[in-house]
Amino acid sequence: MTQFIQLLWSGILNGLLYAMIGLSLVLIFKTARILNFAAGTMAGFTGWFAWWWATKGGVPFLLAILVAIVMVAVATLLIERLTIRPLINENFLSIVTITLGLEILIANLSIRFFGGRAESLRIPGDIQFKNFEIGGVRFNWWHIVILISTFIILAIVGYIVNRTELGLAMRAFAEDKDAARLMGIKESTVSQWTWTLSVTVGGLAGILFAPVLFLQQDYMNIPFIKGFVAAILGGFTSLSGGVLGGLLLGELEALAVKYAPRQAAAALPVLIVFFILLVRPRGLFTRAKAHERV
Amino acid sequence: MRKNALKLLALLAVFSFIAVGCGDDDDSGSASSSEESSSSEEASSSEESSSSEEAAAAEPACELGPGVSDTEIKLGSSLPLTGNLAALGVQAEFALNATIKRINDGGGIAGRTLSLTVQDDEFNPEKTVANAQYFIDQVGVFGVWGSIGSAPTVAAIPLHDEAGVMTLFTWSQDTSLFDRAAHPYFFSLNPSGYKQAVAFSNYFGNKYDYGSETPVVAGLVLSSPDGEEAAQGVRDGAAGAFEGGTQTWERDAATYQPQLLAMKDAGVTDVYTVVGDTQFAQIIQEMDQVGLEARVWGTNAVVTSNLIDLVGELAEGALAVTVMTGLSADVPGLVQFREEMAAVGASEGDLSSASMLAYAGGLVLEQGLRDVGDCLNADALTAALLALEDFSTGGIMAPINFDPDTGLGNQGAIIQEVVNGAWTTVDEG
Amino acid sequence: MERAGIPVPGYIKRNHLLGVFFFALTFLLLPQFDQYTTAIGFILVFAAVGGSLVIAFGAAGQFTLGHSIFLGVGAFLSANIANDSYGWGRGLEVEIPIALAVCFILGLIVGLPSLRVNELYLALATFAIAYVGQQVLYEWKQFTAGGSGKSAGDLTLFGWEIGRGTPYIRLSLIILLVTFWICGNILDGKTGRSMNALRTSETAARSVGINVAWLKILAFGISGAITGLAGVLYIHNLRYAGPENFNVHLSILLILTLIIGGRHRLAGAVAGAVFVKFLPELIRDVQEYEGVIYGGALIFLTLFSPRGIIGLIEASLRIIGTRLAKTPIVKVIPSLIPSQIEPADRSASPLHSPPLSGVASSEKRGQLTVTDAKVIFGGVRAVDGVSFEVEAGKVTGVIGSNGAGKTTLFNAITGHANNAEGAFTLDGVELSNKPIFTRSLAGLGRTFQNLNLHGDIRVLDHALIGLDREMEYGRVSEAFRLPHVVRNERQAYERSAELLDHMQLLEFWNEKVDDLPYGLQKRVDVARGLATNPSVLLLDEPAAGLPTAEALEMMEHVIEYAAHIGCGVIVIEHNVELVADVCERVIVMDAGKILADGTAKSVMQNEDVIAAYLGT
Repeated sequence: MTQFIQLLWSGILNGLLYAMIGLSLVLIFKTARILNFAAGTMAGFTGWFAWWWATKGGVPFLLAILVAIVMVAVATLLIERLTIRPLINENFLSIVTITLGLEILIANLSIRFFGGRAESLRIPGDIQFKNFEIGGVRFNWWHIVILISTFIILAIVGYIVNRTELGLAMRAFAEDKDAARLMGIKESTVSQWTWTLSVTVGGLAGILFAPVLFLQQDYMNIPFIKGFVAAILGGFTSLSGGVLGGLLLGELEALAVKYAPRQAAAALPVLIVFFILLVRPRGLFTRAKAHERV
Repeated sequence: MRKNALKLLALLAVFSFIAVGCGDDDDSGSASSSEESSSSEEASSSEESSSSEEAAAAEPACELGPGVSDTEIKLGSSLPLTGNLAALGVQAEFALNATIKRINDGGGIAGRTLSLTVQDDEFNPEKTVANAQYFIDQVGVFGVWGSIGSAPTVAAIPLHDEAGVMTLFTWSQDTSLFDRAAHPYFFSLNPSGYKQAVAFSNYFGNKYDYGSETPVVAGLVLSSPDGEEAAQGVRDGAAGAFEGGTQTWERDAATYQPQLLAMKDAGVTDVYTVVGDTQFAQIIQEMDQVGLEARVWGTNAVVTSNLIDLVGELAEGALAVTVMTGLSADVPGLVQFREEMAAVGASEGDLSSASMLAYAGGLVLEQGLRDVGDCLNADALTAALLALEDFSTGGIMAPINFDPDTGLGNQGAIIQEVVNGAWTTVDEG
Repeated sequence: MERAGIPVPGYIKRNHLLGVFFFALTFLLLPQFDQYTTAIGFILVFAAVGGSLVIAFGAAGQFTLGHSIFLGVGAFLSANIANDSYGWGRGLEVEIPIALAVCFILGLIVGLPSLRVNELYLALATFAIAYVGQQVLYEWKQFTAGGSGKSAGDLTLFGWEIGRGTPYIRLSLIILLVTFWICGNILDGKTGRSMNALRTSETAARSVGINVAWLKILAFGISGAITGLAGVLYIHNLRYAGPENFNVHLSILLILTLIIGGRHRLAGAVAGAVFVKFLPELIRDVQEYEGVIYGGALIFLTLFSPRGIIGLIEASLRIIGTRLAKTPIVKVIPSLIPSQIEPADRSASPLHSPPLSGVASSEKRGQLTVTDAKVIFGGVRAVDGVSFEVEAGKVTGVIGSNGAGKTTLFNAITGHANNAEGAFTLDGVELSNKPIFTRSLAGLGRTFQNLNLHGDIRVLDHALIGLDREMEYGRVSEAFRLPHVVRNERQAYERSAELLDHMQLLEFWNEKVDDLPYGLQKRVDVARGLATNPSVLLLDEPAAGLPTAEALEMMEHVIEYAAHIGCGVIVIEHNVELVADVCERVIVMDAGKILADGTAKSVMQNEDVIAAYLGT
């Protein structure tokens, strides 16, 4: 039994990673109908940036994180203003192409600035190396920090989306873009804050998981793809769906390693996603639209 | 009427072009006109003369190989300078440059200086092949040196072979490369994955003191033929008696916890894995997090100081089966290696298997070139390399002898262990 | 047609000549660039894939992130067929047909999700497919040798060995030329038109008889097959293929290449491929900044030309073109343009022209029977037990206040309402529960309150789309532009021209409907409906937003045409004056039920009708 719980816990760890990326992707998709292909690279860049401030910049750990997040958020505002806003009325493909261009650009900048070698993000007290046991199940302190942080982040995002005016504007845009515009909600405001929020969530994921995955070039690329799959699973327009999809995917993977035959273990989670899509195209956690107007 | 005539003319033009094109089909590409054709012509003519060259003792007229002039020897290198193997590429590049600098500062070889063109291939075979064509057709190189990765090397080597360009000292493990009948100009100092696994297995079963309890040895490998070969190698060697199963991970696994948990359940005492140094660090860290108390064995790739930078104390006791001696060893070769790397701007962290392997290759290359002397072409260098007997790299590797069937220079199984935060040789193999 | 300048469909277009010109240029100049043959080989591969995506994505609008799987399957099929030791040892003459066939079927399967999801969700589904597909490639060791990959087999064609480098590239060029020719033929024919129709308005496409579901799958099939062919070219160029390369990144790159180039043009496929695959060759000296340059160029290009490189070129040409048009040199060029359609006799009405006399019919059709139609959703009884019968060839009006259920009734008849109950027959043919396109093919035509026009498509094509159902050629013939295809196309063009002339739209034949004023758009909607040669035409508020005089004139033309072909008309309208003028019979609806039914005069004097709708 303890082994099983240990297995489930390992699945949750991955699941949290996918969930955060999934959330980041759904935030933008839901509001602006855009797939942000640069999400993984931006998350990775933020992680590296935090490391840079903590080591080369000589800044205390928590402050380094804060500085990195703030600077990336500001950069996102700039990027949004310069490259995405002008295309806001074109169809989604143009913006998707922009995100692809950003991905290539940022990946290159990342390796220019931070070098090719792998680095580790040192946590004060080295708690990423400290473990404890409860009832025979072993936990790592930093993983607990990730768990708690993720919940806090989700709570904050949930609060913003559900309880603030900005969140209301975002949801209005998600429902009906034209109606929202007619109501006087400024699309530019919604766009820039949605992007900032999304990239911040991704950046926090990049920082939180840096001690787990180690800072390497492209270390968030695979999580990005997994987060993408998670968002598909949860339904790309449901925030909680994206999160739940991530957790579900993480668990599926862990269980597949143990119980599935070797050949299928890799493909299995995505196959499941694929079939879920066939049966329920809008994802597991979204409501379908009532009817279509002709 | 005029309109129809124009259409007819256009159609005739098309057909005539096609006819012209089809006529070329039997020519070989290098016969077409271009400024670079001179070097490829030399290559084909040197191939023709090779058989007579081997029979005769010395030919009065010497056909120089491609990329060889009276003053220069051109070399190319296609490395992953970006992407997730960027660290390896950057480290190797330092070592290549250090070699070039050493040779050129010493006055070159037979009056020729060496020049090296490095291109990034992002570990993508498409780029490696495009780079290969660039090296062959535009730069005009004598050899492509130090490629990293099986897929890129396997993809590019047909181009090299056809152009008579040497493929030197790559870090790739695909078995198909180690076949001099197919690839006469291929030389490597790094054994195939299978051989390395067998070396580990034999060492473990026959020499290693694993204590009083029966060990359980399991492989943690990538789900691929390379990984499976490695797992098979473990089984085929002496450690096969203690086999505890193989766990595989998928290319896009983020963590290894489920696999390590399975090993913990199976009571594994020794984990053999074929990964890079960063994944090795991750495995060590996760073993600790999952509570798997076992020894962990890696291959060449994990012998870097970066590993210890990443996981600190946890790395203590990690083992590796390599073809190179530990970084902390006090051998003249390493001392020189350190100096020369520093001279080209490398830092301590750049001293790794990747750079050591490339550097050792450089030593061998230099010796081979010196042995050939004036009349430098692929066959001459091949003969010189094959003729090397117990070539010393100053202690970096076991003495080198090239196997004429495979082109492999050593079969070493030097065992290293992390002792007091540094990789140390514990068995010369 | 001549007075409007509509080009006659033929075998060769201006684009063909341009294509052959560039092909010949490249073919001849290739030896000068033989140090770039690998890169050029990849350009051709990507261009071929791009061409296939012009069909699946540019025309049919299917945004797919899964095409790497076809490239991979094609590549490994080639390796296994061509290799001497473990393969069959056969050459391209076997590799190419098999790759085409296998990948066509694979494409049909991959296209299945497109039936259930649209647009971005389809992108996600195909993303998942690419991902799973790659895993399958890894695991299927016999086919792909797993992580090691396979080397390409020998390169032979019917026993002739093809040299690497320039000869192989020339062969690839020829293959690409033929492929593009076929793609162009598909795009120019009914398949291309139907795909563009379904991309721009699925609803309307169904209503003109297009089997949208099958067409979507077919788009994947055709596109998959061509990409499979590209896979064969790929592996012979690289001489190696490993599952590692056929990943999601490649899929993204494939479609990105077309987007960069311009997705509605085959030339865009080439432009994009050149950009993506040649740029790295040009910047080798500053390679460490390749990402910045490449990504930056991409962003720059997208910001300034969302239509891609070709869009940029076309826009510049247009600017230059308008300036050049004044100069005498231009006169030479028109002679290369295929001849224009012979003028019809201007004095007579278009209806009497040869193309349209063919559809004249004195036999009346369109006897429509509606029995107990109901549409109920969410507690609302939009249509609540409506029954009536319309005689063949009659003009009937349907009026009522907003929300009375008029459009919903139409939707029930045409099949656009998902949860409709009741029985519907047309000229004795049972329509109930049949899909929309089947009902359309049975003779049911309609227009829409929301127009549902095909935005970036020309007016002429709207008429052609309606006529496509009568084309007597199959898709394979279309791909090779056989003589009977050209004949059918010519006839269709002529008929469309006359129809447009009748509806007074001829001078706008080349305009994209999005660029037209509202009144003209309404006429295009009607013209499209008429083009389908319906037995009965359902018009949904055709006059809405038009001044009465214009509306009356349009309705006159519609009725005239309807009488010409013998079809009935049922028209929903709020303009009661109009209704009274043209309709012999008027049905009044209120709250989902029929309130009154009779002649216009009797209905308008009906007290209930006055109370509910007309007012005093």
